[in-house]
Amino acid sequence: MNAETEKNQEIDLDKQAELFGRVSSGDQTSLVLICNDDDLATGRLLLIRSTRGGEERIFFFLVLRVSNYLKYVDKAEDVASTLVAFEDAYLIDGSLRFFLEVEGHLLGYAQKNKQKGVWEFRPSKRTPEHFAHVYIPQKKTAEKLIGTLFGPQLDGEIYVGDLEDGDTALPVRVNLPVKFLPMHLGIFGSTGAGKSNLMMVLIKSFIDHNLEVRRGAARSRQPLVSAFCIDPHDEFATGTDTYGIHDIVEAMDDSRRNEVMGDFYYLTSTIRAVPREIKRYARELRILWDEIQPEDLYSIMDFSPQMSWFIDDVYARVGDRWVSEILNMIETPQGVTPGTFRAVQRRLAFLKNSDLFVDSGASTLDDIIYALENGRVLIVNTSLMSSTEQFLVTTIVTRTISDLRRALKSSMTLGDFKKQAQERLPHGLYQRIHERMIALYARGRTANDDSPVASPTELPAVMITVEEAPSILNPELMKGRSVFKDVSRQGRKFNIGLIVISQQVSVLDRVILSQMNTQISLRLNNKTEIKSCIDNASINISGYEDKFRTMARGEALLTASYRDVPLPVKIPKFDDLFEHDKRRYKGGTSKRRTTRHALP
Amino acid sequence: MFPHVVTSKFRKKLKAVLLDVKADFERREKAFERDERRIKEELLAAIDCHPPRPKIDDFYIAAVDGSGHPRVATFDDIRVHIVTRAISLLRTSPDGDAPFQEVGPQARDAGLLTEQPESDFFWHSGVGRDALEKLKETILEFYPIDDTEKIVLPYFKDLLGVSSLDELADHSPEYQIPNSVRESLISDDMILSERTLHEQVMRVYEYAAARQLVENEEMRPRYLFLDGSLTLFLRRSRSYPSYPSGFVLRELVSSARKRGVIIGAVSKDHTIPFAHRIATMATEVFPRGTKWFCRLPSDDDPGHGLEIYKDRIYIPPTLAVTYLFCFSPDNRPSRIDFDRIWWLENIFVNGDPETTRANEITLFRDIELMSRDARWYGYPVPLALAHNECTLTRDNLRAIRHEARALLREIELDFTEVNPLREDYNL
Ligand SMILES: Nc1ncnc2c1ncn2[C@@H]1O[C@H](COP(=O)(O)OP(=O)(O)OP(=O)(O)O)[C@@H](O)[C@H]1O
Ligand SMILES: [Mg+2]
Repeated sequence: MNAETEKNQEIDLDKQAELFGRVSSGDQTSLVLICNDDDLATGRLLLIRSTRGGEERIFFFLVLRVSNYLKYVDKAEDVASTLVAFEDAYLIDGSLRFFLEVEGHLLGYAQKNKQKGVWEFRPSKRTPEHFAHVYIPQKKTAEKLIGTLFGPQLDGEIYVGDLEDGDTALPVRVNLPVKFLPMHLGIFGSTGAGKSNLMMVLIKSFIDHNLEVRRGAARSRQPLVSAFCIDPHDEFATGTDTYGIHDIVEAMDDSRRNEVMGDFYYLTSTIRAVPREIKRYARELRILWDEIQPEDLYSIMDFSPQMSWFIDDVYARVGDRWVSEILNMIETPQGVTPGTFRAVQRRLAFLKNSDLFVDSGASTLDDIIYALENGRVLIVNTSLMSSTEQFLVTTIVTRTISDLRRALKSSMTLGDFKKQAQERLPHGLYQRIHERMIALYARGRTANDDSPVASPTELPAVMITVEEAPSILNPELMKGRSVFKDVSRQGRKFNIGLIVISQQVSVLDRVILSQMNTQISLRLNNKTEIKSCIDNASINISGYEDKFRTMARGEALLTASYRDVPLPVKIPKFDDLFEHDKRRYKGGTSKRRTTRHALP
Repeated sequence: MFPHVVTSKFRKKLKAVLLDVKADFERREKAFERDERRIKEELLAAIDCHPPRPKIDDFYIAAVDGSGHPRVATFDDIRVHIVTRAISLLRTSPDGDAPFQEVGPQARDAGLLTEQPESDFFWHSGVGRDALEKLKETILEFYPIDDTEKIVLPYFKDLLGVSSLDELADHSPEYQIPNSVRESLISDDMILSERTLHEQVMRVYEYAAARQLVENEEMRPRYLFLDGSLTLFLRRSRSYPSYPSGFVLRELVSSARKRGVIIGAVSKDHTIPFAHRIATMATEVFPRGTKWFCRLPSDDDPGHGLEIYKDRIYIPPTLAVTYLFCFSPDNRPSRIDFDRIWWLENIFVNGDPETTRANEITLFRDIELMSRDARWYGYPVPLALAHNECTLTRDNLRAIRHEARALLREIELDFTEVNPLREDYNL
């Protein structure tokens, strides 16, 4: 540890924060403080200095309830009624006598590791002593103070928002580590809570991260992040308000854009409807029937055992051509009842009317896969698709990329990989992509059959959003064979993560929920959802009901299994964030941002 | 259940006692009847109060109160006492919601109220005269006057008009003080209970704070309230205070008088006989809700003292004037004592009861204005503030003892016992 970091780790609460109150009573989780009569919002972070046992510890305390406390007054109603009864009565304004009784949670404490000279955070297994000093961080010192003490709780490459302190945001950035993205992310919030805005913020952070990595400047050697982002309202590219992802794309110079965004980032079912400026970066999404596998449909629709038996049978006979085979059947084949047969045909009928899923022609699937394996972000406008089409696209992409990664994982050499991939992928797709993929997957310069392959964890983390998640991640569908069940369990192995976006938590499958190691909960309106959200969080946030009820738009609670404390986060509005950062995308001179910022 | 309660023998005994009480009560009732007219016509007075936001000149008001506990820690025969005190200081506030406001920060700048509440310790062993010696030392350490004769003199000066202690030789034997009193305020033959000892230390600690307020020039209060009374316990068959705090109190009072500070000692809980009857009388005489006071004259006053406290030698106390007052229909009347010498100079006009009455009303009108805080309506707010600030709660004591234990460990003193919280002393 050098002198500078040593110095950076120096904490003096008396100088860096304001003495605000004293500990009154409580235990290692919930505590009551008596504080100055000040304007204190719930959700604020207070620091408590404890010297118990001769060790200096700084506890983090989250304010959950604030009530007035009038010293020397047992019953405020007596005083109030005296003021009413006697017109000449007054109250001497003794500022020392009005206090706040503050209840809340201990999040944990920081303690200096004397050997390393750094502060380390620990979950709270201790309690500060009676009358211990309580401090309130000041805006201008909060970054250093909280950054130092809280550091590891906030670290990561993917910026989510700023640490929220009551009703304002501190200039303290809250990030997610790339390495935990494949352990899946749940985004929950009622309508209008800011889910789309958050997705845009995340997409921007993915792009920013990729810029950093390609510039060779990423702080830790983390892989690129790709994302396949379903956009049901076609709002990510142009934005919900003023700016959208497209403005980032436009703000980049050509070479950088090429490097980070590739030759397209926007997918849609009909290119005709795309605004001109976006058209240059748009592709029409086409997927061949051959590229659909039975499992894909099982993942998104309910099939009876008889139906899937029939489908599996056809698939075993004709392979990739199974869809057209079934759709072209006129007679009920042998071995199935007419009912089952017609039901299957009905379920597949949507493919016949789809612009997107076509029997023949060019497929975009290989470009999509290639882009994702290259660390690129794709926005998929599904506003002109049916929900079934949207789900099926998501499923096919997820399954294809996970099949590839699975093949890779179980291969030693490119030769192995080719064999494995050929077995798993539809024939046509394999033919089209294997040359390109081999170039990506080879470890080292040469790419012959004996060359070793890269491990999935060295490849980009691929994030796939599942919008309107309850339609496919419900307990019914998850009982059967579901692509998402596999990915949710094994995503980490293959470096593939799901971003599950939902207005409801209670209706999602519990197994899926239990795999969401990061949860960003935005405002929720109803008790059941709040309860599910609390129950599902990977750390204990019981007692946060009030917090949920009073959350404003853009406020969120971030919980993660790899972190000790729930973090209240103010998600910035994408517009403000972009305004602030847009110059960074220009020219080659731009340095890594050094100014951390708080948004208004 | 206590089985005797229902037996006739038990009832008989109880009844006999209660009859005794009744007889005594009736005797005193007669005394009250004799006083009734005089109280109604001469002594009881209504206050024409200040309006809610009166125009008054600029001045300070203050109060001092103290508290303590005689056993913070005990080791064998050693006792460690804690004493606490608090000052409240307010100033008139021309444009506030209330006519007064606290002056915490400025007072701290002026070196007053630097620590609120303030506390100190006192310890003694049961060995020989150790307690007495420690008491002597402590009084001189607390009180800002070093020369004990200067503390002893004011009492005799106010009482007899002497200008030095040597002049006492010209007076009767009851005023002859032993040398030990001259030198240390305490007669050597005094026997002190632990409780009295504690009380003495506490009082002097409190008076010392009051003395500071009187002495400071910047924020010298016009009114300074003490908790309790100006009672001086006198030695049997002697005419001087039996305890050192008596001398200290008179020193305080006389220095206040010299500097224009009006000292009033207030007690909510007092034993003035028939106070409730006087209060009832006030409601009969005055319109509903009238704020009133009633002087309790001494034998030296025109018309002499009242019959109702004829046998109560400390009402009013030597060198003090006592009033009852009531500023709120919800309160029992409280008692307030003033320095008699100040009173003779500033309130009383010989042969002119009208002017005397007018002066009294002016005095109580101010005090009433200071007693309208809704938290303690009817009670002088400086006192309430000081009281609340200095009072040791059980929790405080527990914390103090906890700290004491920790420190004992730190200094590696083996202790036998740190008293558990059993008694409830002065809380
Ligand atoms: N962090 C934020 N700060 C300020 N305003 C926000 C924030 N997030 C969202 N908003 C505003 O709230 C509105 C709704 O946001 P958004 O579309 O992101 O909500 P949503 O959760 O996606 O809603 P839906 O469920 O209807 O899709 C937008 O107009 C946006 O400007
Ligand atoms: Mg949305």
